[in-house]
Amino acid sequence: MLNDWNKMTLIAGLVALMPLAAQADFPDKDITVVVGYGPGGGTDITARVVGRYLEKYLDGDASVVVKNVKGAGGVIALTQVSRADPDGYTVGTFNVPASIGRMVDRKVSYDLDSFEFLSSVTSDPNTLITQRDDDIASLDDLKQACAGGGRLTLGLAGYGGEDHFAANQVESALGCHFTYVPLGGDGSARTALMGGHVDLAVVNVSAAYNYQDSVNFLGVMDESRSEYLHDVPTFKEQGYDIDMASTRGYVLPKGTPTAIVDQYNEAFAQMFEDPEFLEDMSREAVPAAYLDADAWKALVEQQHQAVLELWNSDPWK
Amino acid sequence: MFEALWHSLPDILSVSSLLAVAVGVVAGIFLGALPGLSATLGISVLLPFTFGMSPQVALGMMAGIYNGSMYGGAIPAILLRIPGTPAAVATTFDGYPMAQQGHANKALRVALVSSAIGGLASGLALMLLAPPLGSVTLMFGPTEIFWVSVFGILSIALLIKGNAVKGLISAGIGIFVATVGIDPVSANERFTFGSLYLDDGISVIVLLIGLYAMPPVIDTLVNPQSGEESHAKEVGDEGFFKSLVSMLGYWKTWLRASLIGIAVGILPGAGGSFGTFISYNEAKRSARNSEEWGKGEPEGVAAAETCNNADTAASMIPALTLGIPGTSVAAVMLGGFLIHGLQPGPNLFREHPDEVFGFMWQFLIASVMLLFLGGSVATRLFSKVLYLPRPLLGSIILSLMVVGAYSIHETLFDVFLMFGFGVFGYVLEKLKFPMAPIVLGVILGGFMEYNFRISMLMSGNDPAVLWSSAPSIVLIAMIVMLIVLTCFKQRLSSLIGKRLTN
Amino acid sequence: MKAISKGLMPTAGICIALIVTSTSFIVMGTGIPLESAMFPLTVLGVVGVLSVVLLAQSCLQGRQCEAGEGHPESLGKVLLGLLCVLIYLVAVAKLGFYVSTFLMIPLMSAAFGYRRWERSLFGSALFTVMLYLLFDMAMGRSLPHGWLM
Repeated sequence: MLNDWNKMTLIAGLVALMPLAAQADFPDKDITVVVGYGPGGGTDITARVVGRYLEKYLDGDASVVVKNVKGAGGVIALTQVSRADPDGYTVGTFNVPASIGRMVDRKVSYDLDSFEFLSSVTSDPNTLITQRDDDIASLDDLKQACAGGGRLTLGLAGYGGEDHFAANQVESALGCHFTYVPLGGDGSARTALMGGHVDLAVVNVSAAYNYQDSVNFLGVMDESRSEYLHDVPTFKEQGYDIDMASTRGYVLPKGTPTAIVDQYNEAFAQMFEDPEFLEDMSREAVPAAYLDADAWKALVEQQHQAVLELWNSDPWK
Repeated sequence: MFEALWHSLPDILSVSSLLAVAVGVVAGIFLGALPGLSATLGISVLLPFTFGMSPQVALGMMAGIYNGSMYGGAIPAILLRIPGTPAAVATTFDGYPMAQQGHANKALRVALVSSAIGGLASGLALMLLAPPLGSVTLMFGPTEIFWVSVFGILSIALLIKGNAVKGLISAGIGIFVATVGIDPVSANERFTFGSLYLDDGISVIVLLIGLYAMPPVIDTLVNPQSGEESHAKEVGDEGFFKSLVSMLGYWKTWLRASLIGIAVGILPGAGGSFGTFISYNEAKRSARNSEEWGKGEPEGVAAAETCNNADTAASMIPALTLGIPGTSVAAVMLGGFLIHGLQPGPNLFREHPDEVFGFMWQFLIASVMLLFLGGSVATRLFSKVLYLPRPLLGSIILSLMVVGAYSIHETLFDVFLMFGFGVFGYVLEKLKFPMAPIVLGVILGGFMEYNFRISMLMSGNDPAVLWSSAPSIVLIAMIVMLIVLTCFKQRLSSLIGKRLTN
Repeated sequence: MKAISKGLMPTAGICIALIVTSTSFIVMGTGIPLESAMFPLTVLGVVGVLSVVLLAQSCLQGRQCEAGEGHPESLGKVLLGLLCVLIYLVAVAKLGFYVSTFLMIPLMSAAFGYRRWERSLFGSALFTVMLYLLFDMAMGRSLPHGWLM
């Protein structure tokens, strides 16, 4: 039986241990992943798969809850994350370069220093497409058409996203002048192309590889060929140094304890060793690609610079 | 293809799949019937849970919710004149007067049967014609869609009763509201007052809740004993089969409304809901007793309700074949497909025939189930609402309005925006400004502007693009015909009117 | 408070309000780049002109019509109703949805004539708990939480 004194010491001891315990036992309550887009979209689906494996590899018995805070191109969600308690229980999604584009063309209350960048988990390269029976079937054809001074229309999802930046690079590399037609989404851009309403379109590989019967792929904007499109050469192979992809990664609010940040980074690394995770990602047709915290931060900074330069020289609104 | 259809059938008739559809239908009826809640909300909330379900169960539940909610929207539209969804606005035109005259049950039955028929027609279209109709969608570029929206806007003119100037002002207000937010063509902010919450524009649901639900709520609170109430409490009764027989005469309206619903449903990004206005107008135009419309004509309910269920499965056609959903519900349902690794596109039908064709069966089954579940469970339960003491009813609806406005973006901003529209709506209603043109203006205004500007962008500002394709010419011809016929009919009826009075 | 049943005054009032609002939006809209501004400003212009027409119409028709059809509600009661709604919305923002709804339903009903407390309290509790189970528990989509809950 415990006397009062013993009880006191026990309690005192427990209280003294608590901060330590809290540190060691992260996570001990639910973790929220704040997704800046609606349910069922690419970012949401990726977050839900990743969430399941975060549960597994963060070694706690806490569960990961995905919360959709859509609106203003993801700005509302990132604002919430940047203002959340830096205790590791609020994770945000950060898409490159779309989230960077919104930092440049909208008034936002955060910057790159507001976040701890964790890892990026997907990379969906862009591709330039034309209609199946179009005269323009290769980049050389396109260059010739442009040299002839033809005015071409190019469908894209919207301004200030990777498709827009990619189209911009194609213009300067091949000496073309496109009329941009913002169609609101990858799917609509591809559909407008298939219906013959635009001449070209820049879309993500994941949005187009299912439609190989109806479109020509002029090139993939990546270091190496896409596993979904083995036969399509990259822009690099064809002599143009254009490399553009949409990558999705995760951030924590700045000031999160290093131990927790490390725990997350380890979890992400372990995830990519897990064949089940890769299988799940490919089932959802999300092209998995791992960048660790340093590599991803470097990519974010480099893209931020590029987007800023473009905005300063040729603002899109 | 038919082999695949048969092959997918046994799975669909399993207990779990049938149960999923049934649960979906009932949930959908409730979601549609509670002002503020919607199928989009229900399905988007459900999506995360479907991760763990088998695709067949998840898709079946979604098909059920979609079908159920489209009918559910008719219930408050008829009983309280509060449309649960934008697609139910046209149901209020004749449904509410019927309820006022003591025929609430009849109106609900007409709505139920018509919904089921629209759903069946739509499910059949999805099943038999999905790939060919998908290529019809491809023919509809911005120019063609611009003309479709002009056609829709014209129906505003036909909706206006009473003072035409007021109707046009209402439409103008709606169209203006549609332009708030980031301009989709050139990405400039318009009238956002620097608020992030206005960047994506004003949700038509927030507007709908405010405009339509606030005035009756204030009225129920302020007039505990309304004079109109005496009749409204008598819901009327008539045997189900007897009323079914009396409905058979609506077959023309059912057919027309189904075709219109399917046609609007397969248009990319059209938002579906304006089809019901077109359907209502077309039915009214061809009716012999068109003066009776708007005063409690059951066929008006049939025209609206058939159409809003007819675009359910049809709006899945562009979603499944091209990855571009026709309505916001179809958009979240597409998310449901993606979550189960079912990628839209031509390969979908080849690689996952069981899931896709099974889903089509489930759409049909959902329509049939709607007929039974909707009739017995829902309708009986909901017409009891009229017996609630009015202040209590008013405050319950008020709290549901908050739930509905909040849950679209999970922000309180929308709740206060809804209140603003509510006050505005109350004033407009008391001054006899019509509400329907505002809603239609919001749905079609931005749509029309966007497609016009995109057409101009694509053609390098050459207006000739507007009449350079075959579908455009057909649409223009239809518009001209509509105008001519309407004018002609008016002239004719005024001539006859003069004869009679002279 | 008789103005509301007269018809003329409110119609003229809303016309003037619409004219003022559309004009000020047009002034605001001049800062937007032309291609984006063209369509909304045209629509606003049309609304403004139509409001002028309506104003003229209602002045010409004078006092005879428009009035009398609506219910002779007292403006005070309507304003009170709207105020109650607004108080409830602010309470939702501050106290949280569930607490304010639980309180609002019986209070609002009582304020507007339904005073069977035991019924309205029971109904309100049932309704609020149902919404809580549905939204916060089952669907994981929480409604606004505040100071109390």
